[in-house]
Amino acid sequence: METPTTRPTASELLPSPAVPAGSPAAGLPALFQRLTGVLLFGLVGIVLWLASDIGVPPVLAPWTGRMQSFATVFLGIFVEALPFLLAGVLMSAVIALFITEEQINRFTPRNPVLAAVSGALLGLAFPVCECGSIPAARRLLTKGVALPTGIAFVLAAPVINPIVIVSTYVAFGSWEMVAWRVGLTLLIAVLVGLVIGVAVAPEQVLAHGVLNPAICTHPDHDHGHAHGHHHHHHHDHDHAHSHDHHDHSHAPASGESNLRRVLNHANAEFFEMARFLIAGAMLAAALQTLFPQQALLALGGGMVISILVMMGLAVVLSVCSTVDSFIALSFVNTFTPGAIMAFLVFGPMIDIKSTLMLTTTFKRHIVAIIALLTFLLSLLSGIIINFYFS
Amino acid sequence: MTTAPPPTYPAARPINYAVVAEVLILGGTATLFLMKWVRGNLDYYIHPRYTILVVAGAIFLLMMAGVRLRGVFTEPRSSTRLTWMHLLLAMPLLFGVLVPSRPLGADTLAGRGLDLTVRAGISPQQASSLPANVNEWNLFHWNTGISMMGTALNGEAIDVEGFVYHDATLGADEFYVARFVVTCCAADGVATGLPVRWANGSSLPLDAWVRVQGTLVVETAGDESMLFPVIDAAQVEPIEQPRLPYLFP
Repeated sequence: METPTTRPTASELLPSPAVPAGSPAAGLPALFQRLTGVLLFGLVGIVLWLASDIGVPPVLAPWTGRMQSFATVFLGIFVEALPFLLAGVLMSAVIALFITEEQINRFTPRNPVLAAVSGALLGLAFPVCECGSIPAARRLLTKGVALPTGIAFVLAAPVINPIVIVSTYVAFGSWEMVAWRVGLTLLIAVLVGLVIGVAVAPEQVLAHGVLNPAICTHPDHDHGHAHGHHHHHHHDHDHAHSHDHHDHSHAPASGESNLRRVLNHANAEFFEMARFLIAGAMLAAALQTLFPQQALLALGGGMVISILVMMGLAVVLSVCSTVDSFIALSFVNTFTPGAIMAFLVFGPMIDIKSTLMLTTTFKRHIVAIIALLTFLLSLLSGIIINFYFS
Repeated sequence: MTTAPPPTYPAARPINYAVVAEVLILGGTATLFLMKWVRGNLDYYIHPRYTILVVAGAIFLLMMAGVRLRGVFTEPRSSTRLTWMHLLLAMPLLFGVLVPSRPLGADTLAGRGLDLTVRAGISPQQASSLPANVNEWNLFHWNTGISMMGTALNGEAIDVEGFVYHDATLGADEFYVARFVVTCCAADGVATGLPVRWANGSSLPLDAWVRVQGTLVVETAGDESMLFPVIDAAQVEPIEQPRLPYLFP
């Protein structure tokens, strides 16, 4: 299971507050990680106790209400994203089990620009939001999809899909708004996909655990490799179905129905993704509880600052792209058009939970570069719109 | 994985507690949200429009839990270990079970601030959604209407429900009647409200639900653009928390 290429210490360090206690201790950094983990869990434990209102002394009683708001907001974000995450892991399981590398190779354009554009438009066939696009993209990359395609897909799919196009139209009642949103998203996703996909080699982009097709050519190993690190328990199972693909005579021997296989795959993927969703939702809820949005919104007027504020709001709110149009709508008259558009374009690509979830697919410094590029391009689009319209 | 004898007796394998934890997390989270739905509390977290999606998601979680159940006895302990990650994954379940279900209220407002200005920006869609009959207006409709029609609404009879909120800027005989407006989920909840003039209003308990009947007074200051609406209350009666505590525009 541990091939020579699978020992990068950097990607062992999870960005989430929780650290896998099971990972082998690697000296001081591991100790710090464990300490931070214990501290954060301790903090969450205190929040949980205050919110539960079980044996809370009167001195601390005022905190109970605040912490209960935290719980409501946290569960609100989680339960809103949950169905979309499940749709994403289901789609990923279907790709993993029923689509072969050969089929993907046949449909992926060789030209990087075409590859990126096709990736950005793939969302029209896979209606997912950001929670769903990440597991789907991860699986597609595992199956050997070109890097520009995978990156453009993960960024654009949350906007360029039928559900979000309709919800944007319903919210704003104007196709012009939809065209701007889709057009800018397409442009930014393709640009970021090209910059990273062409300039950097896949093995330096993809997170440990996402198959690198150039290195790992053994079909027997790829799924085990993909899951081996985080999810040991699916190891043998994945081997079994790898055989299914390549030697159909073995398929009936496994005795597993397709439904069971899909559910098992979806389950492994869900556990891998959900922890980032949960950590992200808690962080977003904590930011909302600690910092009044009122202070942020008071900055709404300026040509540039208003864009930054709306982008900050998109990150903090961490809401799904299928609903963010309705939220943007309530800011239409107080914020500049560029700020509204930046919210609609940047929010679906980058927010707290999606950034954490992206680290399952890409190396952490690549996630940082994707976030930074997306941020700068969205900001630039917003500024251009503001000067163009005024 | 110690050098165990060949597993000729699969039933003899010990219970894999990590898999037990995973099954409990999946099944428990699904049951939690299904229970909240049955009790009518799911609306505290998410717009009723998405209830169907949440229920479908919970059923999918239950199916995954069912399939995972087999691993409790078949998976060797060495392949799946109980880690801190399981605790993180159990967070929604723990918060959902241990924290009493409560909608956003005065406590949230204290953190976020009452928001009349943001809602003052009204899009044409929202404006056209105002019911023709003023008697059917809720707090959100009134604030929308006031920002559109201003002093034209002065003297209208008003009858609204909301929770009590106190603010340092108000006098002893005043309080806010407020309501959260939720577009999608609790994370985007924004409060809307109106000040009420009522003898000893500041002594009403925070967060208590009230029905306020009276007359709307819209005063202006300086250049007619600054509007100061206030309800001159004829009656303030305590009520039960409405089934849907939020307004869903």
